[in-house]
Amino acid sequence: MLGKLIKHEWIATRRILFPVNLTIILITLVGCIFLGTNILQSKNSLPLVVLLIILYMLSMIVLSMVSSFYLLVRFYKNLFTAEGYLMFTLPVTPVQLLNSKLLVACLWSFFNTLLILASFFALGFSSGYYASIHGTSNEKSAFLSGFLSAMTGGAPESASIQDIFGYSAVELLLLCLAVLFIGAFYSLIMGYLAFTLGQLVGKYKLACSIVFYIAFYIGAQIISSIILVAVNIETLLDASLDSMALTRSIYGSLLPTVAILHLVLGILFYVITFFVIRKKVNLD
Amino acid sequence: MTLLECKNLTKQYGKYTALSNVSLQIDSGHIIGLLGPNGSGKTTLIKLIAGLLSPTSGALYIKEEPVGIGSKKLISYLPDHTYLNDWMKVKEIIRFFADFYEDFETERAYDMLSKLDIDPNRKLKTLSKGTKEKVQLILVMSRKADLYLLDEPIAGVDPAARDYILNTIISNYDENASILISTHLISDIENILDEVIFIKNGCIQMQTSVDDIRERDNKSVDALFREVFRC
Repeated sequence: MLGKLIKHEWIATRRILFPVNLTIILITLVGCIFLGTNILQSKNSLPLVVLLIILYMLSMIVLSMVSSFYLLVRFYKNLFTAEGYLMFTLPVTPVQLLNSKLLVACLWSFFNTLLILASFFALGFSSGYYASIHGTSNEKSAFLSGFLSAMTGGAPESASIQDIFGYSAVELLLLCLAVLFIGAFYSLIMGYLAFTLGQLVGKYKLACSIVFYIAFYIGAQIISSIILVAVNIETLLDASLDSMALTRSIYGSLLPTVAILHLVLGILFYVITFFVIRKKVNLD
Repeated sequence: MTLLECKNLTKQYGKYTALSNVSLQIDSGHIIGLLGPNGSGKTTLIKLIAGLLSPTSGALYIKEEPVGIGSKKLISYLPDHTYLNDWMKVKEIIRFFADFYEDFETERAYDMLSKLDIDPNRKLKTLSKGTKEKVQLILVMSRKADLYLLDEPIAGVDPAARDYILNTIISNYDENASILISTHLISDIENILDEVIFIKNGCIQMQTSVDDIRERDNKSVDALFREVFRC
């Protein structure tokens, strides 16, 4: 039954999220095409470039927020409003309902973030590629050549990925993917827990859910900040480190710490949601 | 055979008691009217049986099993409001039901849709409230369930559609199954009932057969209801 739930959750969510992600791809393609031409290269087009960059950043932020917001609203609407009468009378356990939604939402959220990051890189490469071909801007072409040399172990005059982050390119990529996926799981389950706990309140369930979410978010941010500072305190106070060593040391501990912290908090949120949804859900 | 058994079932919302110490038993092969005025606890009782609410105290068994996956396979539930995803097409909802309920009969659903002239390719949000309710009833009655829980199935439709709905209920249920119909439109459904349960202020006032009411009290169910629940 979990498989069927996942299938139907996928069908329901792709209706909204497929166009959202397709829009990101289309914006990126249009951006790459523009950057590959000389339309934006003249000095007179600077205001237009600034405007387009602002519009691009805004559209990425909005599309990312639409995706996250929709996934949380979908969980609430499908389980705790009228649609819940259908879902909670299916011959499945409440935990299967939770797991199917969480898995599909995590994949969408992960994919959405990856797509936005890929969009940034694609535009950066397009700009760098045009500059390196036409020799119009040293900074832009340096981005492309610097990135390529860093990925391939570092040219003598530039730092490698290993020098900056303390990981090889592959290790860094895998670590970033893990951080992104765990981050998607953590932020979604925090919202799910807030909505589930909101159902235990007699009145103003939705308002209480939002208050719970804000409280969890602030609480988690405070805990994260304290732990991240505590983990890096020795590095930050060590005056003997040069800037590269300091950056490497911070990045070296930052990504694993964030991943572990989000994983631990995510599991804690999941366990609470699991017990509440299994025992206490009442559709008034 | 006992299909449903409630033992001292109580449901409280904060300080408000919606159901108080309800004990009742329903056997297979009956159409039972759950009758009571607004706010008497009919919907709460049905939602407890459907597994949408957890009882504050007491126990509830469907074929001697507590409410859970097993009972949800046996129960076909029609809520008192629309509950389907309105972005879905009728045929997509039929596929959804067929996927999750082994006892769902797709052909029967399409047959009922064609008799009611409902296009399976239409999205639910394009249908009127009454047509949506008919679609919901078709979905619920297309299952070969052991217990049908119908919460106000005729409240939102016109009199002509009521006749169709009642005919659908009678002609689509297995003789070994039972139907629990909650309503306050008693005169419309009186003729199809075998038993009635009167509920008031969360307490069961009476559970008796319709024949007994007619023979013993020489009254219709509607007349007895008006007498018991006189304001």
